[in-house]
Amino acid sequence: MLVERSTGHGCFLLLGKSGVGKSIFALQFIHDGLAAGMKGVYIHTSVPTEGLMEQASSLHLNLDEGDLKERLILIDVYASLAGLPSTSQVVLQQGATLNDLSHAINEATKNLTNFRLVLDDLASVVAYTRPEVAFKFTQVTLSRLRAQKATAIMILIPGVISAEQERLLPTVFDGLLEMDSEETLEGLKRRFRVRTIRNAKHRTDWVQFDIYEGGIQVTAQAPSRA
Amino acid sequence: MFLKVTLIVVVANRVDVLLPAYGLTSLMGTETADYAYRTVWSILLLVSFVSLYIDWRNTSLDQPIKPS
Repeated sequence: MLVERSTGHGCFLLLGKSGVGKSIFALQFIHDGLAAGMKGVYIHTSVPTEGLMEQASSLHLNLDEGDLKERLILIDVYASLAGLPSTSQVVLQQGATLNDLSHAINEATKNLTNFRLVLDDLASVVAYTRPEVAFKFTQVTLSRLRAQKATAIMILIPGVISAEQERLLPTVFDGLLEMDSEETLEGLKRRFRVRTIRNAKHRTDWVQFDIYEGGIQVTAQAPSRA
Repeated sequence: MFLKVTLIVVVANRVDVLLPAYGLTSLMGTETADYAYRTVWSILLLVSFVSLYIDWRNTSLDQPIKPS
């Protein structure tokens, strides 16, 4: 709806503050890909596997049913950060490095093409590294994904990583997507926009959305803020 | 890395000032000085790109996601 012409795949950075609906958007993105017969890889860093599945189920995006479950690969980074056991197919060990994560993604997506991948979220993975290390990790990962004709979304909460990282990282992505929310008299208004997409004609205006069973639905074109 | 590249580019940009300042333009003639200037510029730019590549290659991803 917002993109008129594109190559159909690419790597996108989804920016938005906490609680705006980024993870729901990502779950819906993976779910829709799986439902269309594609493989999906979900790298989760901030919730355990069970929590992720519960969140998906609460939105009626059941990832653990039948064919969908078979096509979904979960890479658990959360367990390595929290030192907990995990039921995901790929689990990073405590003390894991960016190299380990890079290898895990590589192994999980070996021989795959035209699949969907989500990293939820990028900040948890690169927050403690130098900007050039974060840049190289993102650059290497995205290069591989592009070669495999994958469509990927990496989530980033602005302000969590250093200003230099925040300046550098968006430059390696094919496009930037933004989510925002503001408190109004009628309640919380959420909005979404495509900020940039390389080699694609797209709109840049904000569209208002709400979260329903089944995920995110665009409700109206949002008025621009003064 | 960025400091290194910035320094190289700044120096390369000022070669046109440095050559006449050291009397090289009058010593070599304008045409030769111009040739020397372009050569030095090209070498410095090449060095900056090679240096960038070496820095990139030496950046190790073997860094823990969470510090211990």
